[in-house]
Amino acid sequence: MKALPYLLTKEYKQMFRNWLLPVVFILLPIAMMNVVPRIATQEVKNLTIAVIDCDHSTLSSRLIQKLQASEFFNLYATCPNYQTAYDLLQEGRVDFIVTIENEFEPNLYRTGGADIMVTVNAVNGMKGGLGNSYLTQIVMQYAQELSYESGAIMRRPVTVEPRYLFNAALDYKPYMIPALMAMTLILLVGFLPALNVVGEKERGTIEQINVTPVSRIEFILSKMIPYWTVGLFIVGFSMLLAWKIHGVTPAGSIGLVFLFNIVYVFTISSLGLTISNYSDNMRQAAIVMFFFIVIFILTSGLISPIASMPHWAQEATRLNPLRYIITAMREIYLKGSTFHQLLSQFIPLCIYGALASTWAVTSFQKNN
Amino acid sequence: MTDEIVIKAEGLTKRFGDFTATDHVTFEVRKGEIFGFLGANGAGKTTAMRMLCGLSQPSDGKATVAGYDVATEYEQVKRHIGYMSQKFSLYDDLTVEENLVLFGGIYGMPRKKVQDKITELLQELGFESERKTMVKSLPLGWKQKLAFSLAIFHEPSIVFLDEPTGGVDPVTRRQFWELIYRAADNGITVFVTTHYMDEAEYCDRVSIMVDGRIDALGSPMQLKQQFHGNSMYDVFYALARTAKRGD
Amino acid sequence: MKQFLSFVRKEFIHILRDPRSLLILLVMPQIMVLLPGYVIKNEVKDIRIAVLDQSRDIYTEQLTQRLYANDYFIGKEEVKTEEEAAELFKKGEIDLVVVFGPEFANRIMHSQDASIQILSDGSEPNQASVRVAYAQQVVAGFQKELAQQMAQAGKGGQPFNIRVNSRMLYNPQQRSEVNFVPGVVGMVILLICCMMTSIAIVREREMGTMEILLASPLPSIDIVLAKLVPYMIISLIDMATILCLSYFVMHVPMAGSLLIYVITAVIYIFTSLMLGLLISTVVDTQLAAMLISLLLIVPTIYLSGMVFAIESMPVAAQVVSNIVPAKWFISASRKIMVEGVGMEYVTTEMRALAIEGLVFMLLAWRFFKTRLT
Repeated sequence: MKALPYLLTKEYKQMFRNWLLPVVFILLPIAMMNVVPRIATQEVKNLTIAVIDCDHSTLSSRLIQKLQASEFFNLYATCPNYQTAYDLLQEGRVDFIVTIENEFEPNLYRTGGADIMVTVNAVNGMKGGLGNSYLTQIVMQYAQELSYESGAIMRRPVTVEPRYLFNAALDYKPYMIPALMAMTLILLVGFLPALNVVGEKERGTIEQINVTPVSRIEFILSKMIPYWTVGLFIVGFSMLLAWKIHGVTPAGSIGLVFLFNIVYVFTISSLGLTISNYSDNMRQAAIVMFFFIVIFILTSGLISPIASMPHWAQEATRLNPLRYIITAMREIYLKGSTFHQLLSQFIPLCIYGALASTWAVTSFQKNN
Repeated sequence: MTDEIVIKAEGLTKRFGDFTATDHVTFEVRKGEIFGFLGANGAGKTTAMRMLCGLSQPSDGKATVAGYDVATEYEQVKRHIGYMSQKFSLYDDLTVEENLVLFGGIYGMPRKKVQDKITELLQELGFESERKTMVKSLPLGWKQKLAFSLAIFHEPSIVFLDEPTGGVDPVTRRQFWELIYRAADNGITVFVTTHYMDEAEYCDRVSIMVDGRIDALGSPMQLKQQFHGNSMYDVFYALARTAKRGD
Repeated sequence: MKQFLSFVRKEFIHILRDPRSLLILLVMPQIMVLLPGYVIKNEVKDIRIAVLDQSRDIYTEQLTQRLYANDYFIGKEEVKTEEEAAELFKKGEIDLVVVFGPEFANRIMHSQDASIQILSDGSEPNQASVRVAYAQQVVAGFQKELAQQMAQAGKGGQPFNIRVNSRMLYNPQQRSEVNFVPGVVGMVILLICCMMTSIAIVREREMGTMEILLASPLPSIDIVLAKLVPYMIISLIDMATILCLSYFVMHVPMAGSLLIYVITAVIYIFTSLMLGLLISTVVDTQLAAMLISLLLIVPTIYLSGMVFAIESMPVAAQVVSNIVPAKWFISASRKIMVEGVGMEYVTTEMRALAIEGLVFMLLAWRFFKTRLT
């Protein structure tokens, strides 16, 4: 291991002599921590509604008030007819059209039942679906309230109190931020090593190294260690940004956050180097690594929950290292889970890391 | 020069698919010798040299360098050789000194010795002012002298030079050969490929490769007699005409 | 022209010699379309539920049975204490715990203040509220039945019932792929045209071969254009295969005119190529080209409306999103593919794309000139 300090000096010098790299190490976390959490929200709030009230009764206007009072909906307009409302929906001004039938109040009193019609712009399927279920819930509650008031039912209905644990405000930020840290890391600490060894191949400098007695482990370590330090800097920097900008801090231990990230950074930098070892030129390495990053991100639970996937796909995501880090980071940040509670994430990640790093060393060929 | 054999190749062969780049090459190089390895482009010189340096596995045949088998003990081979590749391969974004410190360190030379040697070497080359210069801003001729100095910096017993003077002016080439002689005087065996025939005259012995085989081997004098030429150029031309592989 | 074609051929040879990259460039887009169709869903299912029953009477048992029998829920072993529930939540082994307080039945019948607490893992807000909504539906069903039983026993009338008749427009099954396909096309074109071309051009410069090309009798602008052509063709192939796959296999609609869609796509490809060209003129190394492309692609994922709805972004982000070319393309393609609107509804998008493309082109031309002199 005598050569390692010399190789490391070289790597660090090269890294910081390229002015763009340090700039990216600072800028990307800022963008990911400051800007993205504001955007990457799937909060379904402030859905706009157009109402056509054909009944104009007390009960129908109370229903409209109920909808308006909900945090999920904003009343955009009251329309005289369906066509006007439909035009608004097509222009994208409203998401929902609620039509209250002609004899709404009389029907309720006479038959105990009445209809409303809801038209949903469901181009964004989730928004449409979720909004629709919120709306249904509001209407159902209203119906129960009316039943009790009018004496149709004798007993006050059972009240249901939902309590949202770990994220009482149902805010997307503490959910997205830990996952975005993992994404920032793979973009830098996964992507850059993938370009590194192959870059030396392309410039020809690798020949001069290959002809020396330096060991493969030393060489690969000298490539990885700088990215580990960068990775841990990014973790710390991102946590600081998340705290200062959004007030989001881990409910669990900061040490645990770092422990998980050490293993994660180790794993992805190994993957990057492995790809680099197999590539002939930088473009190829970039394409292959990008391919893996896209697939890893899409199936990691970052944008859509793993539990919503079909079962075979859920099993397949076990091959995705991002799955473990994102799950673990979210549990630490939101729930304050302990190391013991997260063993089921830690062990697979360690196995992954061990395999990937072995592969990175063995795939580096000094002699072919 | 002694009779100790430091490089020995017997039927050394490298095939890429159905293409035989180096075809059963046999030769010996003695300690302290300047051995010229000649051939047209694509004759298989670089491939043969890469096998001898332990960068590439032979498909067939056997070779030992400094007493170690290149197929199995290639990491041992690497401890005893220096190598300068055809393509300039020092780190562009490191300074002259940083490159030397790096490779000195890789070969396990003590830090103090590295510093002393750098000073000595830069003085010899008249490079003192360039100690802290980024390699990328050096002129080509200087880069090549630096690459050579780096190849012998750790005092190997054999140095392999792959077309070391490609693209430099005659004056620099001359200076470069002075460096080679000085290394040989210090007992370093020099194995050099070239396609400048005037350079071939500087070698103790030369071999000429055609289509992956060695077609001629001997001192420049012997070869000129054997092929009835006035210069190595005539010898080379007589042989190269028989080549079937194009450039 | 003949010379130009021979340069184009040379570029193609570069790409064809690297089957690994070509394969990925052609296959990755298909995977990016298929994943959302079959894997990336937001539906809420398999909710792991447990009860914490402090009452243990006929009603809590009925309700528990109802909850466990529901298709959305997977019943887990009953928990005894809140601490036990907390531990399960922290291990991520449970999503919902329904807590019945003491004397549940008694309170329903007599004191009329019966309540149920639903503990939900709020980590993912939408999932959390949908899970609660499902549990509430089950409870509501239970209450309705209870009221009907009472009515039959002569203790009160029928509860009111307001029926909600919903109609989902454009995307009736709420399929995420319908939302995703236009986004994927936008992403892939950007990746190929912007990242790949900028790398290809910078690579020539890094390797020193650009000088040789520039020394040829062909005008320098043609040499650069020749590098763009293959990537344009690959993007068109990708676009065509994505459309076929999404139309025939995944039944994503093409409600509007295919021709208008293709015209929009071609304008977008032009804009992306010019952006790639612009990057290549301002950087010196492949690494820098890749980093800059990466810095452009990441915001694009977020700001283009591909995954996250632009309307729900903060105003500042909405303003910034206007300079993201992919935003205009994705918006136009959703309108054409899903809503089936005519040309007149997408002129804004087309104009924005064309203007951006021209601006990139002019800038690239300027930098290129200064580089040559």
